[in-house]
Amino acid sequence: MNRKILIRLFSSTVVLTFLVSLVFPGSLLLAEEVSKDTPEVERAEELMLTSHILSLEETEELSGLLSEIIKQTKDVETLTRISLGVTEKVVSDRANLQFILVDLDKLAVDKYSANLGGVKSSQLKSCLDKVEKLSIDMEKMRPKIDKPDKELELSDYIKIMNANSVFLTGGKKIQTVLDVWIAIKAQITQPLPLWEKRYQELLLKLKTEEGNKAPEDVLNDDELKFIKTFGRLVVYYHKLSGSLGELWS
Amino acid sequence: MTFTKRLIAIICVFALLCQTPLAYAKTSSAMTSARVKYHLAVSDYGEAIAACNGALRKSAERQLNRVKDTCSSKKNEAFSNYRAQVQNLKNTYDQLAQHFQDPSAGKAALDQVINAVGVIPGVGLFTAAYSAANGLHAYADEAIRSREGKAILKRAQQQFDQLAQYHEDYNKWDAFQKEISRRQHELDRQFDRNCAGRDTGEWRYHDLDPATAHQSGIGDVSHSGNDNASGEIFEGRIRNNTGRTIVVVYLPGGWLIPIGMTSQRMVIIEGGRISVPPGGVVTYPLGGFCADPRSFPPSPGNPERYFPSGPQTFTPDGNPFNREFAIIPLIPGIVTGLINSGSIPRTGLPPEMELITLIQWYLWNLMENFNPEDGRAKINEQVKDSGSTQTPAQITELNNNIWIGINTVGKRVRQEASRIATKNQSQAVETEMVPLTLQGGGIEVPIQGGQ
Repeated sequence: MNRKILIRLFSSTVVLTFLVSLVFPGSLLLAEEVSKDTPEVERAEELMLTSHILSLEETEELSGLLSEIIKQTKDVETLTRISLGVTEKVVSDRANLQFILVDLDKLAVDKYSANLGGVKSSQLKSCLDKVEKLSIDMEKMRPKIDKPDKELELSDYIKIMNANSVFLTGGKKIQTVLDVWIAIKAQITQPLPLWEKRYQELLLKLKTEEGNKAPEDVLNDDELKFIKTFGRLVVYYHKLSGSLGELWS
Repeated sequence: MTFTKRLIAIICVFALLCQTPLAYAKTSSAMTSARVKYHLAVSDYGEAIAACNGALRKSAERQLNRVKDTCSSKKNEAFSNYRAQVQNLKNTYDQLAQHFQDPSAGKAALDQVINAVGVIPGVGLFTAAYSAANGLHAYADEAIRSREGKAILKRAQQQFDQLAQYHEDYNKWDAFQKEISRRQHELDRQFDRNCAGRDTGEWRYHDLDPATAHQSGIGDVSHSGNDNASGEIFEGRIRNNTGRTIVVVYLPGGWLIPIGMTSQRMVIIEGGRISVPPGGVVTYPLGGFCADPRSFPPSPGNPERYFPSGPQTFTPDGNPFNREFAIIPLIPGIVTGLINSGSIPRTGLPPEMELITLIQWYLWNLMENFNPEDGRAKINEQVKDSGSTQTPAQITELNNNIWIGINTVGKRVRQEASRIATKNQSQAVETEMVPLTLQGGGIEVPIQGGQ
C-alpha cells in the first residue's frame, strides 16, 4: 500500500513538473541560471573589459586570477571567453596607445601647442619605437594554430591566453602595454595642465557662442587645430588613466 | 602604585591615545581605496556609454555595486563600534560619577551627554553631543578633585573623541553610498538615452573583431593597400585556422592602423560581417578614407602591415568636434543626401570624385583642421602628378567650390551631431551588420568606399 502511494506520488510529481515546464519553459533552467561564473572569472572579465590601462597591482591581480582559472576551469566555453577577452584587451590597449601617441606627435610638432607646453622629440621618438616594438612582439608571440579540420580544445585556449596575457602581466622580458603607457604618460605629464588650461578656455569661448556662430568664426586656424587634436588626446588620456568621470558630465 | 602597575597604566593610556589616529588612518585608507575603485567604475561606465558597450556597462554596474557593498559593510562596522563605545562611555561615566563633589549635579551632566549621543549614529546629532560633552568637561574640571577622578575624566574624554570618530565614519560612508547611488542612476539613464536602439556589442559573445581574430591565432587576418587614400583602400584576407566557421565583424567607423605609424591611418566607414568556413580563405575589398592628410597612403603589394581597430569613442566633454567624430559612419550618407538634393553646388569635379573629395576633405578637416590653404596645395599636387594643365584661376575656382560644399557638409554634420547628442532616443549610428559578400569563392562586397 505504501509502495503504491509512493509510486503515485512520484508519477504525479513527474507529470506536474512536465506540465509546469511546458507553461514556463525557463523554469527547468532555473538551476542552470543560478549557477554563475566563479568570482575569479567575474573579476578577470572586469579587468579585461575595462578601458583603462591596468595598473601594476591590477596586472598582478590578473596574473593570479588567470592561474587560478586555469587550475579550476575545465569548461571550454569559459576558457574561450577568458582567452579571447585577454586577447581583445591587449589589441584594444595597443590601438588606444597608438591613437594617443599620434595626436601627441601632432601636438609636439605644431607651433601653437608646442609654445604652450613642449614634448621632447627624442623621447617621443622613443615612445613611437616602443609602440612599434609592441606590435612586432605581439605578432611574434601570436599562437600558431593550424586545426582546419578540428574544433579547438581547452589546451588551445590556454595557449591563446598564455601567449597574449604576457603583454598585460609581464614576464619573459616582454615589454608590456603598461610599460608603453608609462613612457607615453611621462611625455604628457608636463605639458598636460598647460594644454588643458588653454583647451578649457577655448571650449568656454565656443560654448559662449554656441548656436550663434560656427566654431570657424570664433576660433582661428591654430586654435581650431589645437582643439581638435587635444580634444581627442585628453579623452584618450583620461580613458587610459581610468578617469573619464572627470571629463564626463 | 608599583612600577609594573605604572608601566601597564602608561601602556594602556598610550594605546588609548593611539586608537583615535589609528582608527582614523584605517578609515581614511579604506575610503581612499573605495574612491579609487569608484572612479575606475565611473570611467568604465563613461566608456560604456560612449561605445554603447553592454558588457562593459554590466561590468561597471558590478563594480559600483561592490563599492556600495563596501560602504554598507563599513557603515555596519561603524554602527557596531558606535554602540559598543556608547556602552564603554556609560561604564566610564558610572565610575566618574563617584568622584563628583555634588553627585546629583555630576550625574545630570553625565546623563546629558549620554542622552545626546544616543545609541545610533546620525547626522546632526553630534552638535548637541559636543555641546553636552564640553559642558560636562568644563564642570568636571572644577568638580572633580581626586587624581583618580581626573584620570577617569581623561579616559572618558578619549572615549568620547573615539565615539565622535565612529559617528563621522558612519556619516562619511553613508554619504558616499548615497553619492554612488545617485551617480549610478544618472549613468544608467545616460546609457539608455545614448544607446537605445543601437547595437550594444552582443555580437562579441559569438563573433570576433578582426584584431582579436588575428592576435588569438584563430584566423590570419591581413590588409594590403591599393595605393588609394580614399575609396577602395585595402584588400582584406582572412584564413580560418580552426575547424569551425568563424564570423569576423568590421564595425562602421573602425580603423586600420599602420604598425610603423608612418603611413596614413584609415577609417572604415561601412562595416560588415565576414563568414569564413573551417580552414577556408576569404578575400574582400575594404573601403574607407584616410585620416592623416600629411602621411602617405598604403602602397600596393606587400606594404607596411596594418592592424584593425574598432571605432574610437569619445566621451562627451562639450567639444563639438568630438561629437562629430562619433558620427563618422553617417557622413557619406549626409554628403550624398546633400548632393542629391542640390544643397551643394557642383564643384566641377566628376560626380564620383566629387563625393569622395567632399567626404575625404571633410574628414581631414575634422582630424587636423585641413582648410582651404591645404586644399589648394592638395589640388596643385594632384595637378602636377597627373600632368594636367589647370590654370591658377581654375584651381582657385575649383578649391572655392569644394570649400563651399565642405562648409555645407560641416554645418549639416554639426546639426546632426548636436541633434543626436541631445535626443532621447537615438536613431543614430545604426551599426547595421550587412553580410559582406566576398570575392575569391564568395560574392561581391557591398561595402561602399566611394569608388
